[in-house]
Amino acid sequence: MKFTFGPESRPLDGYTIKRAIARGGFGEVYYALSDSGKEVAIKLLQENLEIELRGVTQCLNLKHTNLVTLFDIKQDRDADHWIVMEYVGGKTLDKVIHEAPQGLPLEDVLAWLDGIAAGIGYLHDRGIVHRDLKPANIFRENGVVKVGDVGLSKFIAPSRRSAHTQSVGTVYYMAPEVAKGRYGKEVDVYSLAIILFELLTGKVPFDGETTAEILMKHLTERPNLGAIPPNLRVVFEAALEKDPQRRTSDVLELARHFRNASRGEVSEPSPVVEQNGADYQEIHAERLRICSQLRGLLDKARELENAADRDRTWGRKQLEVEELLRQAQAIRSNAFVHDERCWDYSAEGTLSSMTAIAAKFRNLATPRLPTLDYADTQPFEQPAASNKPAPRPSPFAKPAPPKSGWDTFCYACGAYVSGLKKSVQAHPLLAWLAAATFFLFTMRYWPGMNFARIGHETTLVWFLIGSVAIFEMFRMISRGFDRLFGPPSPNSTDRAGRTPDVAPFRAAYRVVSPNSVREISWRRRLTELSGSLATAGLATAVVTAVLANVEQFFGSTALIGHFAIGTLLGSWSLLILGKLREGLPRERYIDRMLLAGVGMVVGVALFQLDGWLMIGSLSDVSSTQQSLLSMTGASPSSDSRQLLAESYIAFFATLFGLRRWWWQTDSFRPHRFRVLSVCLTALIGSGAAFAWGFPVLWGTVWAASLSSVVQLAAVWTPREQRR
Amino acid sequence: MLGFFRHPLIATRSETHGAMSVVWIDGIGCFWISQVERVTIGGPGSPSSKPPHPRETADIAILSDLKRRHATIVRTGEGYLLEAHGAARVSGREVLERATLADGALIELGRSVRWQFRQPSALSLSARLDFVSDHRPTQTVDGLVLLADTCLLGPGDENHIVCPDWPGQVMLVRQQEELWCRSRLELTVNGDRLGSGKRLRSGDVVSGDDLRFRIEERGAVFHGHE
Repeated sequence: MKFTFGPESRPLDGYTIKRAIARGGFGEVYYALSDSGKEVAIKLLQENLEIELRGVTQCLNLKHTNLVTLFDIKQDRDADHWIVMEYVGGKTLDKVIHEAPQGLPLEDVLAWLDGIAAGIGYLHDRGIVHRDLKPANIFRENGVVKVGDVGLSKFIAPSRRSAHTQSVGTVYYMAPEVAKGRYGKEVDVYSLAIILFELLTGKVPFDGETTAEILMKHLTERPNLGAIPPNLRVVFEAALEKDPQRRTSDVLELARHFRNASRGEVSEPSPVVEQNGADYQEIHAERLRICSQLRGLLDKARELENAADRDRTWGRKQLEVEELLRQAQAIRSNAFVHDERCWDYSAEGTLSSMTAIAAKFRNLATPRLPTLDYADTQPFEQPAASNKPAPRPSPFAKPAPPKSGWDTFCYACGAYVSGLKKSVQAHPLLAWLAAATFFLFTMRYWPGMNFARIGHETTLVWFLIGSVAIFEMFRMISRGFDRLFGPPSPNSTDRAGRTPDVAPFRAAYRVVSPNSVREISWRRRLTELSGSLATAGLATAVVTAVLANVEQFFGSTALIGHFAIGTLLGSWSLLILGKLREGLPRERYIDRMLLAGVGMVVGVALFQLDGWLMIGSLSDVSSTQQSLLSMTGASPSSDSRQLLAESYIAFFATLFGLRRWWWQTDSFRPHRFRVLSVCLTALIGSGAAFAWGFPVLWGTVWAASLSSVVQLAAVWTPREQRR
Repeated sequence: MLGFFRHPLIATRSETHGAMSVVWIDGIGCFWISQVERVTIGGPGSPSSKPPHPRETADIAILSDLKRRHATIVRTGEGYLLEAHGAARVSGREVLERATLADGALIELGRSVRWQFRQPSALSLSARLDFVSDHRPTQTVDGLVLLADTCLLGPGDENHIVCPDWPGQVMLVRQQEELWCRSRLELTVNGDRLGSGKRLRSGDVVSGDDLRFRIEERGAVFHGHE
């Protein structure tokens, strides 16, 4: 292909040609950028026939989604005319047909047909006939079909067969009456029918060696409809009628017949409605009515959307939205049954907005609706009678979860075990308590554990560790079963790295860890914080009450108060710090330093409280003699049974600084409550207490209760709502 | 201390300016060719960013709701990796830090940006990114070539840039940060015969009987010819 203008040439002021796009029937088309960067297609008209220009001028201000927009007509220095128009990327229908020599699937044909029919229908409604409809000037960009070359068609007559004004391609789609030089909108119906024929079969109905041969076939030969599905033949017979008077009169009607016939329905020829007077008024009124109904539905859907965005309840509101969409689609099918002209473009736009909202709900709600997880593996089958466009199979549809090895095992063991597993998953805390109780009652029978000889505090530590061990063991066995005997995970890729396109779409809420940076308004921080602080108070009360009933843990009421205030103070400071730093980029060591600093403040406060309550000693100061402090010479003298301020401060600073507390306070922590975290915190607590000469039992229990309270109180966002 | 509670400025960008070329091919489209080893991908830079921070945007800034630096595609000795700085999936799998890219892998960034990663030629490490969703940079781009050694243009599917109507293959070869053009076809570069090969500079036009393309440095896009 040779083109007149090279890249970077500027035949038109203000536009720089970047590359040639194609040579059309009327001239060369280039991709150009305006000086400010707007991309346009510019077309050089090679013969400036007045009739041509008049045609384009007529169409300059037409606006329709399915038509390529014309921006302007300009003259260059050589007085040649250029048309400046919208640049449409994407494939031409020509290329699509070329890539599918056996024809396209029916859904694709319908999608193309709808777009072309809407665009051409609009032109006809404005009194303009396209006259040169052919696959080479039909585009599809981002799913929107666009018809180009509007207003450009020449007076095509077979006698004028000069090579560059008339490409052979045009002849394939030319209606017989064009040869006689008189034509109306039936010409476009004929061309569209030929395009449909080609889309379905991959071949044009009238082919030949020469232009004349093809033209002769158009005029005389009956199309061979053998390759067309039987239910569609009648549509083609009507639309490829040689006599324009007897042909299907309108592209929209052709589209409707085609759609109905493809569903196996016989459509009655629509009553001929004259577009004048009372009838037009009636249609107009109907249009307004439909529009107002749809607006109402859309407003409701928008309200639901806003509400759901606020409180994240897409799942609960999804059904309502689907219902609204169903109503809107019912209105659409009614409109089509009544008269398709009642369904205008604004109605179509409103419906597509609603479809978009419903799609959003589907995306956001699917992972949370257990019923959908199992039922939604197949795309919906549409009832044939309704006029709904079949929804595309959702790429987000979730596959049925595979049966795990554990499930198989449970099935073998009966529903009892299976129920047990479910309750463990649902209530880890309760399960842990159950395990703990079991351990408590049986531990005296466990081999090698003579608890009579060890003190109460050690018993408690053993009790904690043992119960957690049992609990974790149960979970690990359950997981191990899944891993050993379960089917491969549904996300596994094949060798080429492709996955079936069915995995749940999680990108929207992929951000899962407390390290994820996100924006949280101060207002929200404050609201969530105040809630957490209140819950922390409650949780502290519960923990203290439980411990107060443990024999000999607290020696006096003052100690109960001390413990409760310490837990509350500690958990509050952890929650406040966690909330302030939530969503900000994590600086691990800075976070730890902040935590340690807060711990020191808490330590000082508790030491003051200790003195004020005149506790003097917590319980067993004797154990503090062998501490790091004593090794460094800062130990309390053994006779003064007083805890040093340093012990307090160092203990809390260590406890706060060594643990990554944000994994327990952040709303994006992996689990709402993790027993393992409590256990680990208790371990660090006991270690810190031991190191700094703090009573070990108190250190352990304080650490464990801080961890539990903090986890119970901090706001937690379920994984699927994270974004 | 309050400084800890503020977001740091997300800036820092790989030093790649000038290493991105644009090829305009008659009848085919516009392709970007990146020669660097790390290509950052992100959303559009904020229009308010002033000259002190001109490099806040990614190498490939897509009009989309991505972060300013959302992901980086890294070429290693054996293949390509996607490093995610924001929400990303490769072939349906979430990418937490990085993921390897295989031929045909579907890259999903953020909520809606989708690309397909292709390595059409077994003989070349170069790869191509096809846009699957309709998100583009500010102007239409039909594809993005990650140039390792060679970029093949020609009629068959094994080419990095498929040009169906071309009579033969044209090769863009990278030699020490320079781009060379080689072909068996009778081609000219700015009117001079190509011969056994020629170095391409920004603005060169390569043409033959049935083909023509122009290569330019990116950034020259907005310049007019006054």
